[in-house]
Amino acid sequence: MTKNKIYNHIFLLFFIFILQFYLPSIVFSNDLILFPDLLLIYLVYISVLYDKYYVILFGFIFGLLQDFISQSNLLGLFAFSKTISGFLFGILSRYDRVWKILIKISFLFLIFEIHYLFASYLMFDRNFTPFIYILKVSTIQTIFMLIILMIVNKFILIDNKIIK
Amino acid sequence: MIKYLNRDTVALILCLTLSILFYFSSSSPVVNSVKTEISDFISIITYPKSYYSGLMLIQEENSILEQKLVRMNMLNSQLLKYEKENSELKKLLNFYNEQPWSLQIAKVVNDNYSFLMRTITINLGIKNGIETNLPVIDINGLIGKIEIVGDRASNVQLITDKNFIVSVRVGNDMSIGEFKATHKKLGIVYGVRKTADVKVGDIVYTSGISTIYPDSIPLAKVVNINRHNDKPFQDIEVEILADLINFNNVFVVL
Repeated sequence: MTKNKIYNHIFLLFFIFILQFYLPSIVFSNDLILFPDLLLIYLVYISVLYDKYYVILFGFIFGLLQDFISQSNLLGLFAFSKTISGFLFGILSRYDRVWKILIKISFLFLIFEIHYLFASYLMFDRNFTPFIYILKVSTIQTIFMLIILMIVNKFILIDNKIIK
Repeated sequence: MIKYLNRDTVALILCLTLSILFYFSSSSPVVNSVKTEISDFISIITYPKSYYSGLMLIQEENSILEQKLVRMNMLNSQLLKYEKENSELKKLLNFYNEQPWSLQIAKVVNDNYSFLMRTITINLGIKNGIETNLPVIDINGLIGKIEIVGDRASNVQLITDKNFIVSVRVGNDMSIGEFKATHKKLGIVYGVRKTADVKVGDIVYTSGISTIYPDSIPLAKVVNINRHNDKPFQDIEVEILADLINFNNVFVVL
């Protein structure tokens, strides 16, 4: 990575953080609040540009930053789930030219689902939260995030589109 | 193994390890619940191993217990034997104290059953003051007499021997007769007058006429009487009182 690229990314990351901070959460139902995870979208974008190695490291750093901001008492929660996601995004970028759009979307759905399953599993106390609720939350959040990704891919990304 | 560890894998392992370390360093109840679930999962995975170890341990314990059981059974049977022996010795002691004669207790060390001679060997001899022709009794009655005396052991001729004849008294009027063994535990008393008052169940005692046997040693019990013969005497069938099968301790009348 060149110095300019690094500066660009740092600037973009800073912007995403500010945006993430001010973006409102969506109350889906009484017991479910959806929040747009822009860092995850950004990680998908990075996976298109760079090697798997960088994606894993970025996933870990983004997750750790998210942990510091969102819930410092469970440090490592998003770092863990985003590291795994980074690794899986790396696989997706490797087969970018091989897989069809439907397979790519399905794989993205799978990665998001895994990400939110891990995050929800490690976030909620199982003494009070049944696993079925965790599954429900993670699936709805995954669908929500997939819609946002589609919007970003269609209207914001111009050159390096995630899904071509 | 090392050739599969490329840059990506190392980064993944490192990042995941750091994340897990950060996560589990927290003391939040959520983390504790995750820890509990992981412990449960590990216990399920390791259950067959612990179950098998438990089985092996039980098998080993079972083997030890089996050995203990055998030892205890042996000890128990030994104690039962001692109890029986103690009871027998008590009986012998009571018998010894009740008798008017001077008795010496002896242990039967051998049985010699042949076609003609029936003898036993006891563990008393000349050194114990034993002489030939001394009567030998058990707690039930007369057994026989000393026939051969050694230094430390003697042979006893049993009353079931074909050559054994004893002068006896029987009935209310203590009529004199002669006892002779027939077969097994049975014998016959002959020479008793037909007028003598003898009943089935009467005890036959030594008469005291002989120099060998003192009088009034119980010998046999009347089991059958035959007076319908052409002789002046009645045939009295008797059963020997002494236990001639299970010899253990006997007394020599000194």
